[in-house]
Amino acid sequence: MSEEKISIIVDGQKILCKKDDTYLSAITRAGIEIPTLCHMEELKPSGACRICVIEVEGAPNLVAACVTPVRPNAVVTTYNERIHRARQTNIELLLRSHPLNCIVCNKNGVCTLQKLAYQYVPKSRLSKLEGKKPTTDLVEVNEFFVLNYSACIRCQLCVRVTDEIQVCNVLSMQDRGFDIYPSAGFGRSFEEAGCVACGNCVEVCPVGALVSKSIKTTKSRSYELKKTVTTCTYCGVGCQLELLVDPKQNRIVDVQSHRDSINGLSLCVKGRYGWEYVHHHDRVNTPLIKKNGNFVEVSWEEAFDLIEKRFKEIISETGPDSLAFLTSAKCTNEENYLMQKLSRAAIGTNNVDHCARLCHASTVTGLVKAFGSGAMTNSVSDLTNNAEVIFIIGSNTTEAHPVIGIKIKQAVRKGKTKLIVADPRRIELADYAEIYMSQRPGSDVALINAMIKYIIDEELYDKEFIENRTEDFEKLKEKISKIDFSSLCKIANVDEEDVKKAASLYATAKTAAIVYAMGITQHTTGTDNVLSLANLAMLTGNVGKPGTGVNPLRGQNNVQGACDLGGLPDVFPGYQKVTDEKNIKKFKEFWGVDKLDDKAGLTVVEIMNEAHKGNIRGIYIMGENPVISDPNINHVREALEKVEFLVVQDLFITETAKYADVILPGQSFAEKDGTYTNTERRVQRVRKAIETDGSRLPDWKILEIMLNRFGIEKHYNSPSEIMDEIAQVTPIYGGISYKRVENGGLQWPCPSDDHPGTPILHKDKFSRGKGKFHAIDYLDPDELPDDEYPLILTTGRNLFHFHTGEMTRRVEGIHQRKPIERSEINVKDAKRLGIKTGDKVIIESRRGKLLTEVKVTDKIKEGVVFMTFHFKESAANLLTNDALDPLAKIPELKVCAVKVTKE
Amino acid sequence: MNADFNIDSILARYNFDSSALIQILSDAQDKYGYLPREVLEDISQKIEVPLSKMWGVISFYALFKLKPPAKYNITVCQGTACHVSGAKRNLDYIESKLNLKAGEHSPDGKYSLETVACIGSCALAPTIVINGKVYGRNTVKTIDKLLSGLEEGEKNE
Amino acid sequence: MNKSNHFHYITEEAILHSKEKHNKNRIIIGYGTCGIAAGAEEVLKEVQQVLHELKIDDVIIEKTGCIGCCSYEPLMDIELANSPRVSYKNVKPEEVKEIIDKHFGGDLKKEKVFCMFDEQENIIQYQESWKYNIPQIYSGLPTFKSLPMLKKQKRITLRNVGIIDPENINDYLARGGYQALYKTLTTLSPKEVIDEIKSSGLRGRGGAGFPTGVKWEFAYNAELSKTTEDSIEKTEKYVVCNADEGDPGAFMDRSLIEGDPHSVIEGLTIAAYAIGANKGFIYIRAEYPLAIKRLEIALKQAYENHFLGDNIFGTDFHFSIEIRKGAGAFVCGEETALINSIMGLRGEPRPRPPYPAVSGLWEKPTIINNVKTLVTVPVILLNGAKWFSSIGTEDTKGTAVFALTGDVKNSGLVEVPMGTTLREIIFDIGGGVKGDKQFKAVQTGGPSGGCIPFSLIDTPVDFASLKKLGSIMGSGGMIVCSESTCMVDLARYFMTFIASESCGKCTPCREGTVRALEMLEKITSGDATLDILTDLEQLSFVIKDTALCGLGQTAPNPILSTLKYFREEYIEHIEQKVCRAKVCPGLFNYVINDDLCIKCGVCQNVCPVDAVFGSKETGFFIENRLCISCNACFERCPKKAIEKVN
Repeated sequence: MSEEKISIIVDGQKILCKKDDTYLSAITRAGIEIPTLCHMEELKPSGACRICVIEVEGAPNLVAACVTPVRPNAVVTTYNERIHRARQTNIELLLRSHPLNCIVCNKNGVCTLQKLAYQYVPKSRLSKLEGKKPTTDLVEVNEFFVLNYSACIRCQLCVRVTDEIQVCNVLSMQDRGFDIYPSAGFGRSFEEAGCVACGNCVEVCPVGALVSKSIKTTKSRSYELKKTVTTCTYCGVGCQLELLVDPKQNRIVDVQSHRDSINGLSLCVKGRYGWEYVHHHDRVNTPLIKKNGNFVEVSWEEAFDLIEKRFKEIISETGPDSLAFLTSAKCTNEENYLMQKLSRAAIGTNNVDHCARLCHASTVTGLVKAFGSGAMTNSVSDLTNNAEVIFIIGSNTTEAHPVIGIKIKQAVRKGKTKLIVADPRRIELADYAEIYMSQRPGSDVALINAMIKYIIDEELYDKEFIENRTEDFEKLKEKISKIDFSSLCKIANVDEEDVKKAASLYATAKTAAIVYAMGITQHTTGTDNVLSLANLAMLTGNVGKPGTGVNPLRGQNNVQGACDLGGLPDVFPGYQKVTDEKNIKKFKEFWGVDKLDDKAGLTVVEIMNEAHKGNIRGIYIMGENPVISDPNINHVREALEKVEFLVVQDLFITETAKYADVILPGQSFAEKDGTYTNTERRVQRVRKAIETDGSRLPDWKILEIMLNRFGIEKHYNSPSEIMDEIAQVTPIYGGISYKRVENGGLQWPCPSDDHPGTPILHKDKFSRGKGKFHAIDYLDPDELPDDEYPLILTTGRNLFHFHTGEMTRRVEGIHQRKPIERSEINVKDAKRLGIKTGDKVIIESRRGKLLTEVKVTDKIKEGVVFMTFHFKESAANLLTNDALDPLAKIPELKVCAVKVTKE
Repeated sequence: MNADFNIDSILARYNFDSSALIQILSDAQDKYGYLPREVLEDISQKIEVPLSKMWGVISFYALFKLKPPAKYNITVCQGTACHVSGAKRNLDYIESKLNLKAGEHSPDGKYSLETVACIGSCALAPTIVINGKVYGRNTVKTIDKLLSGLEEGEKNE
Repeated sequence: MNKSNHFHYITEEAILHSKEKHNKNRIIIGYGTCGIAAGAEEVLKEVQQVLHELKIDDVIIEKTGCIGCCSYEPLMDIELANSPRVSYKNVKPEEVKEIIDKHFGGDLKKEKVFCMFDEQENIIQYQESWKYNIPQIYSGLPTFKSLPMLKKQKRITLRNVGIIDPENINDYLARGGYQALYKTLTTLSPKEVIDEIKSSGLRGRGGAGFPTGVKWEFAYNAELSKTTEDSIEKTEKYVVCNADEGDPGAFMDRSLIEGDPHSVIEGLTIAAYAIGANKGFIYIRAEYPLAIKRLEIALKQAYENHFLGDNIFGTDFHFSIEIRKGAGAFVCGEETALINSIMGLRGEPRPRPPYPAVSGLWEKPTIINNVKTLVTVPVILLNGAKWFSSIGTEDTKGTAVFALTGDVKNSGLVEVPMGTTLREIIFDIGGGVKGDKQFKAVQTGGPSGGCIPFSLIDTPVDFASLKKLGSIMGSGGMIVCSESTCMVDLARYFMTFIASESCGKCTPCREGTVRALEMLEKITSGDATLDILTDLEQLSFVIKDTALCGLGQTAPNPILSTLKYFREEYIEHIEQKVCRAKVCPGLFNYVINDDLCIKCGVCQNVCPVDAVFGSKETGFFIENRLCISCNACFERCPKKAIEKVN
C-alpha cells in the first residue's frame, strides 16, 4: 500500500500527518504544545479531561485533540479566546473539586493541574472556586503508596494503566457522575484485589492523589529532586529507571520509569520500591578484618596489604590455581572485566566463575552447541510485538521477569499473541494461555520430544529451513522415530491431547518464540533441555527472524554481562576460549603479561568442592552469596570454613561474608557508574546518583588497586575508559562505548563503531554456520522421590524478593509484604499430611532440613513442593541437590527428593 | 458455597458470556432480590470478569442493589411530567413522613425509599410505585392513604 | 410446502382468524403500563367476575396496548359481533357491571362512552379496510377518528397500537405484518432497501435526526474489515434497536413495544438485511417490564414462524435477535454508551469518530436505530418512499410521535405530520391547559431539550425549527407547563437529573453540571446575586462546547433556553426573592385566610414538620421558616383557606 499523504493546516501552517494520527499526535509532533491532563502516549486515548480542546473548522463544537482522528485538509486553531475560555472553565471545574493545598502537597511544582491552573486561571477567580467536594470514605494506604481520594481529578489514568499496561485488573472506576472514583471495588484494598505494587498507577497520576510513601520523607520539594537515569539492579530485563534524589539528604526518595526504554511506562515493585537497602544502616562502610573472630574496622591500606600478603603467600606455596575468584552478576561489566583480568592476568589462574553457573550455564553450553552463541536470540519487544505464539516453559515470567511478563500479558490481551505455558506450577501466565501443561519437574526433555515427535509425524516441520540452514536433522528424526509418543507424555505426566495441540499451535504459527528460564536450565539435564528447545525451534524454522527464537531470560541484572566479560573459567571476554593459542597470545600482549593459564579453570560448585578438599586455599568473592544461593549449603559452609583466606567484597555482611577474613565494602548501583548488559544483550548505562557514604570505593576502583598490587600497572579515570579497553579485545563489544550507549543502549554483537547492534541473532546464518540438531534421550533427574523422601522439591522466585534477599529484605515495604518464606504444597498432599495454610513444617532432604511456613494451594502439581531461596531462615538450598550437569556443571536446583512433616 | 447461591442456571442461559454481564446481574437480582457478595464472586470467577470491573458496572447502574430489599419498596417517579405535577413535593412529604431519605432503608427493614428517573406513565403524573405496583395522580391525600394502607396491612398480619 | 408459500399460508390463516374474531363478542381492555396504573387490572378482574355472574361465556377478552388517550384510562371496549367497537372511558370497577349489562342488553351507558371505532383501517395497503354497519343505538357516538384529540393526528408509527392484541401474532399478520420483510427479502437487494429508505427522507426518531438511509449505507459500505495477506473476511455487523427511552416525560417507545412489538422486530430485521448483519439486539430499559415481556413473546412467535432464525423465507439470510436490558442509566440512550452497556461494560460513551456504523459493538460496524424509526421502516417499504416523503415538511418527512403530558387536558400519545404547529398539538389535540391555568411554556426533547414560550407557539415541529428555538425534537417528550411551573425550578430539575445521570467521564459534564446545579439552587433559594447569570451562561456554553457525548453537549439546553425566554423569572428570584409560580421553597409563603378558615386543625395534623402553630380555639398560623413547602396543608385544607403569597 502506498503511503497516504495527509496534511492539515494548523494555526495557518501546513502539517503532514500519518494515517492514524490524532490531532494531538500530529500537532504535538510538529512542536505545537497542546495541554492535556488525561493523555499519555502509551495508553489508548480516552478524551476524559477535555483540556486538549481545539477548534476545527466545520465542527460545531470544540474538538478533543487526543481522541479525534485527523481529517485530511482540516483547518485547525490550537489557541484562541474560545479555546482559552473552555480550557480555563474546565480547569476551574477540576480545581473546585480539588483541595487547593498545593503549598503542602508533595506534587507541588510537578503537578500538571497546578501548572495548567497557573497558565489559565486568573487570581481573581480563586475566590469563586468553592462548592461541595466529592467525598469518599475510602482510603488506600499500603506499604508502598497512598491514594488520597480528595486530590483525585478522575482522569482515569491509573485505571487505564492497570488495564492496558499492567493488565492486573485491580482498579476500575466506580459509581458514576460526580461521585466516580478509582477503586478495587467491594471495599477491598488494592492488595486484596491482586495488586502487585508495581506502582505504575502512582507514576501516571498527574496530581497528588497517588504518591509513593517514600516521597514523604524528602526534605526537598519535588521539583528540587535530582533525577538520574540508570538501569535497574534487579533481574535481567534491564528496566531504565529515574532515581529521584533529595540533594539535601543525599538520599533516593522515589523512582520513576524512564519511559523511552525497553520497559516503557512499566516497572515492578522491586525496581520502583526496592532501593531502600542503598541507605540501610547495615551497609559496610569501611574495610573489615577478622581479628580473633571479630570483624574490626581497618584502613583500606591495611586491608589491601593483608590481601596482597596472603594471596602472594598462597601463590608462592601452591601456585595460582590454589586461588579462585567469584565475580558477580550484580556488578557492572567493567567490574567483571577487571575481576577476571585480576584472576587471569594478575594472579594467573582461570579459576574465575560466578553464579551464572547456577542459572544459565546450560543455556550457554546448549545454545553454543546448537547455534554457536549462548544468548537470547531475539529481543523483548520483538517477542511481544511479532510473535504469534509464545511457548513459555520453565519461566514464571510475571514474578521473575515482571516487566517481560506484563508485556506478554499485553500481547495476549491485544489478541496478537497466543500462549503455550508448561510449568509444574499453575503460574499467572497459565491463565492467559491457550494451552497449559503441568509437567513433572525434570521431565522437560520428554515433553519437548513428544512435541517434536508429533510435529515430525504430522509433517508440520519446516523442510526448507531444515534443508538450508541446519545439519543432523536425520539423526534427530531417527532417534525420535524410536520413541513412543504416549510414553513420553506419561513420563511428563501431561495430557496427550494438550501436547498435540501445543505442538500443532507452535508449529503452524507464522512466528513462534520460545521463552524459558531456570525451570529448563537448573537440571542435571540442563544442556539436554536447552538442546531440545533448540531442536524444536529449528525444526519449525523459528530461528533468525522476528517473533521467533530461543529466548532464555537471564536472572540477574548483569548475568549476561558477567558472562560476556569473561566471568567464566573457560573463556576470555567475548567467549574467546582460554585454551586457544591465538587468544592467549592476543591477551598476553594486550594485558602486557608473560604468561596466561592455558587450561580452563574451575566452576562455582567445583571451587567449593576443591576448597572442601583443601585444594583451593584462597577465594575472592565479589557480590555473591554462595552460602545461600549454592546448592547443598551445608557442604558450602564446610568448604568456606576450610578456606585459609577468604575475601568478600559486598554491601552487607552476608551469610557468606561471615566466613571472610577480609570484607571490602562495595558500592551499590546508585553510587557508581558503569554498564549492565540485559537479557536481550543490550548494554545499558548505570549512573551515579548519590554520593557515597563512609570510605566506600567503587568496586572497579578496588579492583584497579588490586590489579596494581599484583603487578598490572593500569589506571582508569572512569569506567568509561575500562569499556574502551573492553571494546579493543572483545569483538562482540567492539563498537560499544559510553557515548554510543548513552541513550537506549546497544545490543551485541556490535563489532564496530558504526554497527547498529543486533536485535536478532542467527538471521541469515547461525553463529556456528549451520544450526545443529542433537538427538536427545530423556534421562531421569539425579534424585527421584522414594518411600523415604516421597515428594519433589522445586525452587524458584517470588515477585517481591530478589536472589538471596540481601537487598530486598532490607526494604521495609517489601519486608512487610513478604516477611517470611511460605512454601507451597498441593492440597491433596497437604490433606494427607494433615497440613493447612500457615502451619510450620519441617522439610528434609538427604542433605539437610529446615523449618518453614506453608501455603496450601492447587496451583502446584500433586507430589511437588515449591520453595523460594530468598530467605536464609528457611534456606531452600540446604535441601537442594548439588549433582551437576556433566557439560554445563550446573547443579540440579530444580529437582530433589524431600519429605515434609508437620512441626 | 451455600447451595442457595448456585448461579449456574443463569450463567448457562447466557452461555457464560461475559458480555451478558448486565443481564446476568439483573437475572441474579431477580432471583435473590439483590446481589449477594457470594453470588458476585461466583459470577466473577465463572465468566472471568474481575471483581473490580464488576463493581464498576454494578455501581454504574442504578437498578443494582447490594442490600436485601425492604418489605415495602417505595419508588417516587421524578420524571418531568411528575415534576411539574409536584413529584418533588410528594417526595419531600414522604421523606418527612417516613423519616427516610431517598436511597435509604428504614432501620426496621420495613421501608426503602427510592427515586426513579421516569417510569413512562407520565399521563398519570405524579406517580409512585410500591413493590412494583404503580399508583398515579398522587397528592398528599393519596399518599397518606397509601402509607396508612401499608401500616394497616402490617397490623393485620 | 416451500417457505414463501408457507408465509402466504399463515397470513391467510391470520386474516381468517381475525375476521372470525369480528363475528364474536369481545371485550378489549387497554392494558399498557399506563392503563394498568390507572386501574385496568382491577377492571379486567371485574369483567371476568361479571361475565361469570351473568353467565356470559361466548366473549373473548382481549388485552391491547395503549391507544394513546391516557387521560381516559382505564379504557374498556366492547365489540359485539359484527358491530363497531365501543370504547368506555375512565372505567371504574364498580361501573363495569352496569356497562356490560347495558351494552350486551342492546343499550349503552352513554355518559361513559369515549368513542366508537366505525371502521377498520389499515395504513399498510395490503388488506381491505372495512366499515361496520352502525346500529341505530350507536348513532351520534363520536368516532375515534373524529375525537378532537385524534382529528389532527396521522397514525403511521402508531398504526397498530391499541388496535391489535400485541401478544397475538395473527393480529399483526392480519394487518399486513411481515409483508414488508417478505417483500424485502424476496424481491429487494440490500442496496435497493437502502436507496428506498434514503429517498423516503426518513430521519432517525431518536433525537438527532440523522438520515436513516445514510447511516445504513455507512454500515453497508463497511463491507470488508481487514484485508490480510491471504484472507478476506466478511465483517460481522450488528443492528441494535435502541429502546432505552430514558427521557423523563417520554413513553412513546414503551407504548409502541407494549402495543405492537412485532413491528419493531420486523423493522430491525429489515435493517439487518440492508446492512448485512446477522445479529441484532434490542436494548430496552429494565424499567419497562411489560414491554420486555411482550417483546419476549413476540420474539418467540417470530422464531416459531421462521421470521427470525436461519434461512428466513427460504433465502440465505440469517438473523437472530437478543434482548439486552438496561439497568437504570440514562446515558445508555447515547449510542456509544449503549454499545458499552450491551457489551457488559460501564455505560460510558466513547469518543466519536469512529462512529458506530464503522466501529461499534466489538469494534464491528453497528447501526443503532430508535424504536419509532424501525417501526416506520416496514410501512415505507410497502407504501413506497414517495408516499412517505409526501408527508411532513421539506426538512423532515413523515410524522412525529409525541408523548404529550404535563399540565394539559388530553395527555397521551400524539402522532402528527411533521410541520404541525405546537399550538395545534397543545391546544387542538391536547385540549389546552388543564384546569383554569394559563399556558406558560412547552418543554420538548427531555433533558437535552429546551423550553418554548407562548410567543413561539406557532412554530411548526420538525428538526430544524425546534433546533432554531434552542430546543430539539428529541425522542418526543412534550411537557406542557402552566403558570404554576417555575422555569428556574424546571431548569434546576433538569440539571439535577443530568448531574445524577452523568457518567462522570468527562470534566465539563461531571463537574460542570454539578456546579451549574449549585448555581441554580442558589437562585431558587434566593441566595444569588445577579452576576451569577454570567457565570451560569459561561459555564453552560463551555459544557456545550467541550463535553464528550451528546448527553453532555446538550445538558445546558434547559438552562440556556429558559435564560433566553424566561430571564425575568431568574431576575425575580435573584433580586426580589420571589418565585412567581410559588414553587421554590422560601420564595413564597403559606398564609391562612382567616375568613375562610374553620379552625378544623387538618393543616396542623398533616404538617410533617410541625410548622403549623395554634389550636382549634385560637386558630392557626404557619411558621414559614420551618415550612418545607411540601404543600400538604394547602392540598388538604377542606376550605381552601391556605393561600400561597409572594
